[in-house]
Amino acid sequence: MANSVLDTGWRHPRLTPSLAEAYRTIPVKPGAWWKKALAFAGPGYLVAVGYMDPGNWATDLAGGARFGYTLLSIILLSNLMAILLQGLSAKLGIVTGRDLAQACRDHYSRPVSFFLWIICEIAIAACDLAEVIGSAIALQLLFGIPLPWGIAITSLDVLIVLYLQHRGFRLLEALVLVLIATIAGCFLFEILISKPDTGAVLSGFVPSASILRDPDKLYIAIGILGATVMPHNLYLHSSVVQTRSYEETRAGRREALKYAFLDSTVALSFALFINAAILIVAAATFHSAGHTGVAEIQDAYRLLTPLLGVTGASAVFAFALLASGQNSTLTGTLAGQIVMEGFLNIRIRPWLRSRLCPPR
Amino acid sequence: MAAIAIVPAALTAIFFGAHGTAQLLILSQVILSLQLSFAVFPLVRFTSDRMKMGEFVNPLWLKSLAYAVAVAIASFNAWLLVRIFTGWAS
Repeated sequence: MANSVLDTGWRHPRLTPSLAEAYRTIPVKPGAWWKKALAFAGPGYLVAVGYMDPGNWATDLAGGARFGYTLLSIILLSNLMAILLQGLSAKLGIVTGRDLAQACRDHYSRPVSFFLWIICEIAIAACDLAEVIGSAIALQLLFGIPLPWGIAITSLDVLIVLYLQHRGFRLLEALVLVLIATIAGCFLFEILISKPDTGAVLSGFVPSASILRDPDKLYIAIGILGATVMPHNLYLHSSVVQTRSYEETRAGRREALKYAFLDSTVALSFALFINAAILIVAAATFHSAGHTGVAEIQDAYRLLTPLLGVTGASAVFAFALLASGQNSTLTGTLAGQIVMEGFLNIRIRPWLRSRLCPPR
Repeated sequence: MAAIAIVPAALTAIFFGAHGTAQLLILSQVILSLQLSFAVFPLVRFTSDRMKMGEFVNPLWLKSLAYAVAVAIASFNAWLLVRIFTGWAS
């Protein structure tokens, strides 16, 4: 590597590139700024998925149903924290050529990085678990598929990830973007029919001292702040920014940083919109009708159509949940691969690929 | 990797139904809270290390802000864990 920055300050040199089959596969051609911005657009959306996963839905629903629009300011604050940390994650990847898992492996002693690897794997499994359950709940609500079957169906997503990665990383990103657009479209519909009070929504984005005074509000607020940033996203982002073949020079890296930050900030604004939309719909529909106890996705599903009086309101909600669950399973699987490969410096793909995709 | 997650999810759904899966979701939140700081602190540390980052090292304001956020997230999650465990105990 021609850059002196890349390998100073580490215990080991970097061995394998992160996510080797996709590493530097997406060209960045010189040209107009918006062409470059498009070339760098993508990793942010993979990351944004984790910020609108089924786990966030429950907290957003509970917050909106109990306290109306007050906690919108907390969603905004947690989004700003996410923008900061994801920016750092992208920067680590672009500057050091390592994802966070590889960086841990190359920085800490063997016992420490072994410990970090084990807890990381447990967390990735916990994360997958939440996503898979979210999808399975959606399949049950929409089609009456029993939960165990829904879980089995969702687990097939791992095959989609491997297949699409093989066909090109851009395809995987495109699929994720379509699913995000689906979720956003569904919630645009829900907001339009739940007719929230615009003034109340806007004032909800202004931090209110009542959040600090009311212990119950504070509890939910801290729940939102604590659960928004998900660890797997920090590993994922530092890896997938390296799918772009920016020039490995100072100027090239500086430019890559700028566009990667733009990408993740725009993408995370979508996540902000969707989380805010869930809370707004819950506030406008459940809180205003006195159903302040709605905390679970299933309750929200049952109440939406009768309360709004619009056929399909519940189905659209469940459809968005399905898109969210599938999407987060996809990116969770990818993060699992990055963590496993990065901490252990192995490649788990080849033997799996040989079974899935016959040689061309 | 996905298999590790699916086996407990499937078993819980089969034996404990929807309520069991809700409990499992809380458990997964607890695990994520526990691990989060082990990802956030190394990230802030590495990006604030001049040897590793060269000219791209976090400037002082960003380093301070990032550590403040890391500490805030760690304390929120510690507080949540205490609430969850005392809730289970009572």
